[in-house]
Amino acid sequence: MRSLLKIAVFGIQVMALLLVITAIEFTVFVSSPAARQEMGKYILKYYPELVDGDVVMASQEVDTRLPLMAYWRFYFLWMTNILKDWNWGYSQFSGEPLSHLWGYPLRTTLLLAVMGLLFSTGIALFLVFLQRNWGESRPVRWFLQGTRFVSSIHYIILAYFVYYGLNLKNPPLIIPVLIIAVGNGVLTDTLDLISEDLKNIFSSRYYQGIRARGSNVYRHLAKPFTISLVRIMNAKFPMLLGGTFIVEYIMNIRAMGLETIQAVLQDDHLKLLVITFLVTIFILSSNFFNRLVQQKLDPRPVIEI
Amino acid sequence: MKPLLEVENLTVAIQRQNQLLYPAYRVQFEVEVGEFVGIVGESGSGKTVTILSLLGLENFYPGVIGGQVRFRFRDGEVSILDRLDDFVRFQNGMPHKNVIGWRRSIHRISRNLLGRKVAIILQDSQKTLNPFLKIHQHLREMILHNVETARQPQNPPGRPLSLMSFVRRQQPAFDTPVSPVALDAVQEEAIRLLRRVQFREPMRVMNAYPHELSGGMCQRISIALALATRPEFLVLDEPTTGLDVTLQASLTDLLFEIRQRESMSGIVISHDLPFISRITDRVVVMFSGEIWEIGPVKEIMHPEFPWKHPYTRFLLQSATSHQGARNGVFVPRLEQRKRKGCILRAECPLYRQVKKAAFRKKCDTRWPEFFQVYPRHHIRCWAFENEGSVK
Amino acid sequence: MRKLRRLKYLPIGAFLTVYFLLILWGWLDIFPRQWREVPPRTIVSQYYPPSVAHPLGIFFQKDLLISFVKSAPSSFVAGTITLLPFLVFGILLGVGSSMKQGSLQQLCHRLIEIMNAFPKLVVLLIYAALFGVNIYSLLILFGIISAPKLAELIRGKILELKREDFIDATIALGLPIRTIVFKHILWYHGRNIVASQIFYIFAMAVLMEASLSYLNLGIRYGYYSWGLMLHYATSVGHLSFFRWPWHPDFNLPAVLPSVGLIGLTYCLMYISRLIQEREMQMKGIL
Repeated sequence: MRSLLKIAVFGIQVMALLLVITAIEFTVFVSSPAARQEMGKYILKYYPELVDGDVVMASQEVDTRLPLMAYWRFYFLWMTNILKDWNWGYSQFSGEPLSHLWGYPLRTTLLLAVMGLLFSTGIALFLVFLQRNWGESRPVRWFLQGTRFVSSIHYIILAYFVYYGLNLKNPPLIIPVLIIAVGNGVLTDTLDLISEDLKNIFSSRYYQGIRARGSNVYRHLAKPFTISLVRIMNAKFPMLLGGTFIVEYIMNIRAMGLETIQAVLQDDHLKLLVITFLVTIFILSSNFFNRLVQQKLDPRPVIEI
Repeated sequence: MKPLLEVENLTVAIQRQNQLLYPAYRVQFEVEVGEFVGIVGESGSGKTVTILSLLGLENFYPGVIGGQVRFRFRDGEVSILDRLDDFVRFQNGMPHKNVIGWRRSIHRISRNLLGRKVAIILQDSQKTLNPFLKIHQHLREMILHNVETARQPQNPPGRPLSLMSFVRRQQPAFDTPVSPVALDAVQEEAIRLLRRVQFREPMRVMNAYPHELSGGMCQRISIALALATRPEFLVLDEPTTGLDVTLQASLTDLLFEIRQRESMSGIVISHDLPFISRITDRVVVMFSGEIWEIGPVKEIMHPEFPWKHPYTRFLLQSATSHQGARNGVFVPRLEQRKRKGCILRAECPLYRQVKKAAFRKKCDTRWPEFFQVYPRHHIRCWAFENEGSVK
Repeated sequence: MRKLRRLKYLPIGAFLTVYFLLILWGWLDIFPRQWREVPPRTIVSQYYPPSVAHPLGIFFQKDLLISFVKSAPSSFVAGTITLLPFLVFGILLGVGSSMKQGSLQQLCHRLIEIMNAFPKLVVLLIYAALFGVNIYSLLILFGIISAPKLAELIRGKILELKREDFIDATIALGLPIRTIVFKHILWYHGRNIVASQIFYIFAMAVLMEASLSYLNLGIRYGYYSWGLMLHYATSVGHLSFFRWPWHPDFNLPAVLPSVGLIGLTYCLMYISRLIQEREMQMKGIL
């Protein structure tokens, strides 16, 4: 019973946080003159009852910037619509319902980002293993250096080489995943972070103690290593999410990235707002997961200095 | 009977900006069966480095360890620093180390040894316990270690293990299903061990994490962990620092009792001279990475004993009063090794007293050698070349 | 072999030298007159292969060599513009979030967490959509939203050093807090971190500028950028990377900026890692 209550409180907290953050984002949106203009058009088209009749008549053609209260009323109406019948509004450019973003685009982007994260971490772990066990041999050193070189290549160039080199019309998802996992310095950065954490663990006093007692190193280091791995993955997640956007655009995968860039080019501000909310939800959940893992695994007291 | 531990020419070199520093230089001593040897010296004299490197625990990057370390246990002989030379090549007088091969080799040899036949209690125990595991997990692991090592035939140490033996040896460390009866036995053993190091409420301690305990409690827990495997050889690195006086006394009693009852051998490093004189049989005096005197504890600690190295005299005087500090301060100067002559001569009272030019010339030009002044008592000083000639 | 080892840093040094020469050339803007004279545009081909008058050919009404050379300064300027807000915000946030306990410290810490959480490209895209495309403001924003990385490193360093005795000693000596933080912690112990982060963020800024220009949201037509060159080069259908370099359909307009971008980012990341390793060695960590 108590755990259920805990979960409920946690859920309410998350919802409240989401509402606050989306409200802030909406304020930022409305503070831009261009967005006010475009959103004003949208409000006049779909919710004319929110605005006084005179204003509508006066400002329909030339200037559709409405008074601020109208935007806030729109925001609350929009939120209630979402919560009531999952109506996320309509695209300003094409008029299609925006709730379709929750389908294939969201799934694909999440799949790309999460798989890219897992691949990147996996490859980095393998490279750390190589470096630690055979790092003195010349072929391994060359291989590592070559990996670093490939990793420093920009997403655009890497994606073009793969996309046009293999000449695939519909590439399997593993190819963009690999590109996201490796390119733009993601792999190098993950590798460096992991190896630095490992070095810190191996030079710590408790590692010396573990060795002095002849204990099983793997068992003793499982927890600290998992903690640092989750922390690194959480830190890398936003970068990979940004990477999926550009790779999708190049490889013409109809997911969130392509939608975003199209929305930017078409001044589709409501779509951008929805996409911002979705990204916020991902990032928040990733952070919550990270915090949960830290709380569960790390018994040491948290020092808030 | 041959000694249990033999250390020959143990040298540790650290490379720093095209220059070699020697935290330990040609250290040579042995430990007999059932004997405790104490190592004394000021901080920075290379005591801890000596101990850690002879057990293969020191892993600083540009450092190189040379020499011979031989353990003779009841069931075989182990040489720790064997074949390490294969991983070092010299270029322009500077050593270049194959770090991975070095590490792998030293791990392979030391993993049969550490925590099984040799137990170490390191400085600052609170930091050497794993902060992610509870105390009972630490204890359980060490106790299961002991059970498994007693049950299984030992691999000949110093040789690569076969795959099957590796798998078998790794088994107890993972969370293998242990029957409730055995678990009870483990718990009983843990409680017994904790009682032995004077914990009145062992159950409360067992469920705590290391950071929830005080430094003294952690010190006692690491002693319990060391005793759990019933080692033949015990290494104590400053066990009494950070403890209050009553605990120090009880710990000294405990260690004395353990050493009497289980006929262990070991090495003790400490600044605490009364503790050393209570618990050890022989004493090694180190300064600037080198041994200057080695002999029975009764002779070295006795204030009236006639043959004594000037540095030892200085140490004892400093411990008993502040008088020693006035007679001169010995400063470790590592770079002075390149120069000719004894590095201590500038502050040496014997050097100042002696009027004969022949003695002074030796001190000025030649590195001092060891001279035997008494049975099993050696001093590194030119003044003792002809035993008893100078007092 | 020993000679080869000495030549280890030669490629990187050579590339950076060439890069700086290109920047100088681009800024001085000295080109032969015949390179600037281009034939009128035809619908058939956007790309004329190399000829005597134009050593690398013509692409979209511009001499390719001129575009390549004049793009080098824009990448350098992109990096430099990003650096200043990055350093200022990074150091301020890092110091603010690790100093005395209080609301300011909490605020800085939360700010770092929130800024770290958002994908930088997405934030830049939305900013461009809301407030218009201006490469300078976009890069300054990029510098600000990348600052938490530096801030976290500085925060970690300060928290680590706070427990050390020598900091207590400096406090006991009565030194002012700004001297302790900026001289004893940041300069004596944190300068390697800052230096390595400077090179890293420079590389990231170059990549980000290329990305934005590629999406036509950064440097627009009429100005020069490697990202923009890639944008146009990859939009021409008949050109391909996968031809021999002497084939008329070889995608030289894409290969040139690719080489520039790859080489520059690799060199900068290599230097950044070199500094990090030196820091590790100084700490005595294997």
